[in-house]
Amino acid sequence: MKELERTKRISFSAVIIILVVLIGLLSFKKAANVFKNDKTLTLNPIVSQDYIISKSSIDTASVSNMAFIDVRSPFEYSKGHIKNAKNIYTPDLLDPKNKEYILDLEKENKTIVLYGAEPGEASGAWMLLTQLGIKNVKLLSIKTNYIHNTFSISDFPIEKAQLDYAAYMKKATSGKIEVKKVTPKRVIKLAKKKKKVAEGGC
Amino acid sequence: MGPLIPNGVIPFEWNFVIAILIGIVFGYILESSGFSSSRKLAGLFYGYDFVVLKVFFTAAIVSLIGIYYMDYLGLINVGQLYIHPTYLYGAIGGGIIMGIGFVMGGFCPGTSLCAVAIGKIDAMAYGLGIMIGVLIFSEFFSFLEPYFDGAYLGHITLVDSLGVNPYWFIFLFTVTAVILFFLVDMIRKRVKKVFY
Amino acid sequence: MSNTYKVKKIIIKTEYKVLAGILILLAAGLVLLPKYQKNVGIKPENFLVNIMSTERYVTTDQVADKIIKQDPNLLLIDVRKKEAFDAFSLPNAINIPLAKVLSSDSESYLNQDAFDVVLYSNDNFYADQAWQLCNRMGYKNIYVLKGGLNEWFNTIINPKEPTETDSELAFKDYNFRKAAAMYFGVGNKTNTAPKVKPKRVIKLAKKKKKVAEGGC
Repeated sequence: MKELERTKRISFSAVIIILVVLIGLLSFKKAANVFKNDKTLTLNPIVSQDYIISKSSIDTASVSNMAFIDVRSPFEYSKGHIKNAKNIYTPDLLDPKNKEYILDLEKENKTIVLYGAEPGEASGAWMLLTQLGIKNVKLLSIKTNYIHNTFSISDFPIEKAQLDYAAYMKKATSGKIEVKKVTPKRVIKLAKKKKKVAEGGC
Repeated sequence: MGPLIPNGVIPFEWNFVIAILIGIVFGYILESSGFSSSRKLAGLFYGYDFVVLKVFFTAAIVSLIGIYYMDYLGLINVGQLYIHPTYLYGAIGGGIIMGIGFVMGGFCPGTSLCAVAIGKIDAMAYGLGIMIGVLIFSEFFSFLEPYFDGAYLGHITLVDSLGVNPYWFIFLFTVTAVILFFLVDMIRKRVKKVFY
Repeated sequence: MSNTYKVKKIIIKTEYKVLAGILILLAAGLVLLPKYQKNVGIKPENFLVNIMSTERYVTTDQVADKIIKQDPNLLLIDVRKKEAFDAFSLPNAINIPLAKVLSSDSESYLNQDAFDVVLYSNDNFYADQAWQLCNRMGYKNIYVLKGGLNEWFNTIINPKEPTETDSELAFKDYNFRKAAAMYFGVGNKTNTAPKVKPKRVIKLAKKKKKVAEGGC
């Protein structure tokens, strides 16, 4: 009889294992928003720079296929905006309603054009949407102006150097000596990080 | 969420406390499955007892399946787990030495400590031998170092180096293990019973 | 009794088969479960909060101060193209073009906790984008130079003189910037180059055996 005691243990553990797996699977909820695992997804457009469009490059032919999204705050939006632009403030981008709207646009093959008061304001939104895997998101490099109660937009070049730094520095150092190539480049080679550690056992 | 300590769910300081607790349980299980008997361990090589193979294979499969289920459910991130780096030469050399020592002494390092705990004198000699071996290795380390560091392959796993789908790999691995258990059982039945 | 005894006997006889069956079933379950795209990096919701926050910005004054004081924790990273970097860069900066931010070579600079990394570009647009890429991957201690090099030249190198009516603070800032500009070589009339601290080489040995080795 004694060995029959083992039956309890076996059936007990088997039932527990199956229960745990079942509960895990049933209570499992997929995340609503997922960053895609593709490094080139965002880097490709960044390298080719084709995601930035300027005001002058928009003509009547291409505008019909564009859906403008204004990422400024509703207050700014109410003062004036591009015609037909929809206002989605950056923090609200992941609201189910707004997300659905954006996904619909993607399905209709529209080009989604983001703009803010400056390109920098919309770059975060662009990053987010692109990394979520939404295609055809562009960024309008404009600056919005609000002068004398009228709203207008003007081109805003991205990352333009205001001066020729090297030449300016040469002049600034009064031409006597070329001091600018001052400090030697510091050589820092950090060892590659190891994976986070959790000890291995036998 | 997991692994818990690297992700800061449990503070780093708990590391050793948890290690001690797991160690106690590990030792208890080793002892209660009879692993402190050197005849049982050596039985694997002579073919009259395959408990060692079964226990460790089962443990590997259970944790493997468990971890991948947890990964699937988002409870643990397999990519963050620590993977022991592979030094090919060192692994081969160490494997040979360990295998010879295993058959001759009848213990592996962990079970020898178990056997010391229950007062076996041969295990104490075995433990002393380990210390001497460590001493010799450390003294000669500068000679052995090129060999020790040779053929470094990084933190790789079978799945990485074979380039297969981990889920299929687990399935095939499990099936192989179960088949192996049955085969091993058949061998055991044919071999003359050894009492120890 | 006899009935339960029989059942128990069957279980005993088949126990290993049952357990093996459960294992195989579970393994097969892994193969058959529908696969889904896992989230890589931090959660999109957290990312959204992070990009709205302005904590990442440091001002040119702060950076100039740190350079002058030779703060050992400061690591300047130039995310412009290589030509631009070669023409002019801030002292001690290293170059990681925006396109290479996610490459494995750059990871050792960006994904670490030994330095406060300050990213800069001409404006802060590219630096911001680099910051966003890093933030999404969950890298810590990364900051952006507000206004970039344009702001650097407008404030540090070529500061605007405050007018009479400005606050005392503005004058203080102006004085600091004037002094900083001289430190960076503006109007250097003497024949001495700014003092160059000996190159600091940091070499962290590859940590090989930090973890306790296992072994049974």
